Amino acid sequence: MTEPLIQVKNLVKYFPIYGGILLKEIGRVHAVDGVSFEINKQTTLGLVGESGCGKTTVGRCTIRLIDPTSGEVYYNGENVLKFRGKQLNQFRCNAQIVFQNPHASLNPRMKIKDILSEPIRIHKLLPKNEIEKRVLQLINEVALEPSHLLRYPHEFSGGQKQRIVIARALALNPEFIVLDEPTSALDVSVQAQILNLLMDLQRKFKLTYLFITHNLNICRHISDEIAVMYVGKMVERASADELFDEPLHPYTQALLSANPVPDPEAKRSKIILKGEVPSPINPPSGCRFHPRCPKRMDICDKSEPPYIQIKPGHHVACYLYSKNES
Amino acid sequence: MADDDRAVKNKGLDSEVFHIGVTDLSSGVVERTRMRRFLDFLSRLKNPLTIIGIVIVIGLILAAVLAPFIAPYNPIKIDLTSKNLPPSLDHLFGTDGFGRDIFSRILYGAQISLFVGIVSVLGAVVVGVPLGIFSAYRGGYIDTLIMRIMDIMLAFPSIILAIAIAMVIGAGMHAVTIAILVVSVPIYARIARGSALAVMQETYIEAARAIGAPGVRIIFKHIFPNILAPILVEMTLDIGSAVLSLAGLSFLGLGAPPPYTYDWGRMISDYFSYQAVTRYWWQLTFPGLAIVFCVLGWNLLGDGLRDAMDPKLRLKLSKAAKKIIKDLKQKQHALKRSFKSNKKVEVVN
Repeated sequence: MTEPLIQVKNLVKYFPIYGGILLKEIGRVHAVDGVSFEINKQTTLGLVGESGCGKTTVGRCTIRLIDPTSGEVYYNGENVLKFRGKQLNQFRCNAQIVFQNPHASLNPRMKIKDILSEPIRIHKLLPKNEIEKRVLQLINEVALEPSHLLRYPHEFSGGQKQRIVIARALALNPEFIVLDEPTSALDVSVQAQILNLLMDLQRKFKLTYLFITHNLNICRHISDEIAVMYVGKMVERASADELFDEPLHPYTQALLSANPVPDPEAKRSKIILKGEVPSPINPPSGCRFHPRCPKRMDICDKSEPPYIQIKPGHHVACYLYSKNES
Repeated sequence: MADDDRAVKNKGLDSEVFHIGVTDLSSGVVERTRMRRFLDFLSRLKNPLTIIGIVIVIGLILAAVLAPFIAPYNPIKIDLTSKNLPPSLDHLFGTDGFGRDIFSRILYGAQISLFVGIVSVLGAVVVGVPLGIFSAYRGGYIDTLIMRIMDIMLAFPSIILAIAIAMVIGAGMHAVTIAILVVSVPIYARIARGSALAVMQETYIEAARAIGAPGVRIIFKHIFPNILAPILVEMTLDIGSAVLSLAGLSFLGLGAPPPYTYDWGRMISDYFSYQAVTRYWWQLTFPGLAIVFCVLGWNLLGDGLRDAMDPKLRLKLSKAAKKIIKDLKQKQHALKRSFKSNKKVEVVN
């Protein structure tokens, strides 16, 4: 195995809630509460979980669009959170993000040409006369036509806009791209095109992806490893096939059993969870899944289960697999 | 969909085809769409009131620009042989107590009104809009500080401020312009801040930060073009009120020193006397009408622009669609009526 490109250690992000007449802090949203993972070079880590479990916050903290409350993020062994000025600029060239909604992520008052050349201009990567060439290359890379360069974003369909967003992310020649649900705003046939494009680009430019999604099938298709989050915590991480074949955490099992299988004859037993996703403002004590867990034990609401490696490359946070330590 | 498919097929384009694609486009398609969008925008201004506004504003601008060529008399030349003449073919709007032609003075007055109105509003925009966006962009206590300062400025009466400025730099058009400018800065700061706060929620601002765009670039390239519409509308409306403030201030004698007293407000104050009210009605009426029409024109234009730029009002209905809606309304009405009568029948039973 190659060394990890991105290493996240114990990432925590709380969003304060202000209220009352004096706008004092009256609570915190525990968006991400101690998440650790690493992504190897040229691989894809899929991050799945329900909406509101903190997937997007993890993605934004990883490329430092928002500063985490605590924790460390390493890029090539360097602490991203300590970057200042020039170093941060350099990091911006190396780590990019593609957002969920392509319709909102392009400035409606800028031509595609300007959108694509903007990052190059900001970082002064190329002399002025070569920018145009680079922009043409980029638009070709995402399979759009050069004639599109002089248009405005509202003249494109969702799939085309997402291609433009991907081209903008590629403009700086990054090594690492956070894909924040890049396909969830698109219809199914366009989703497939975008996914294939992303996989082609990964091979061609030796990219590393953090793929955030709630679609398990897409995640399995594109990811080498999959991490499952629940209410700000990472509950399980394993290679894509292993996670699907042998899910260990009860939440992962429930999640996978809810995933539709395109075979009407297939027999499967759905695990129906009771109750609702707990509020991240006031998360349950102990294991965050214990109020809904079908295999709950006495210890589960008393202390948090450690996040440990069960098998090589298979991590899980559940007392079912770490009884001896409790 | 079709576009996407075609795009995939074109993936292996060589540079020659690129070239053709680009030249093709720069010559025709873009021009056409931009032209179409502009015409579309113009067609949305087709409200009769807006057209009146546009006509008045264009007329004012023409009067101001062409005043030296179309004014029949010199506006400051005193001719005591023809004083206090009523309107006639020689003197369209009559003459004043010094025999000066009021029509010519009003034409020249348009120069002052438009100059002060436009310069003070532009100045206020140049100062206020960046302040407002910066305030929204930084947030926190800087935001609070800037907005409180704006509140203090908003509470300051423009007339007192103009008198103070005139005391410092001497009475004249520049004092009045600066006074109006300073007083309207907070209006733009507030509008810019409010719109910028809304725009900053958009993903493309976050995308700009992700590619490492510095704050100045985000403010001017990404936020500013997207909040232009409400500012433009406010500017048009504000030129009208600036003209009104100017008239008020120069009525108090804070405008240009003699003999350049052909500003509309100053004319009213100069001519205002018992005799003017009882005998020389034209001396007060025409400068007054000039102010009214000027303010009215800019306000109508501003209202029209606001409606044209409001995306929610952009829905333009075809005749067929209008007919369908009309039919639906009629049916609804008929239904209601029948419902009511049914009820009555029930009550009777």
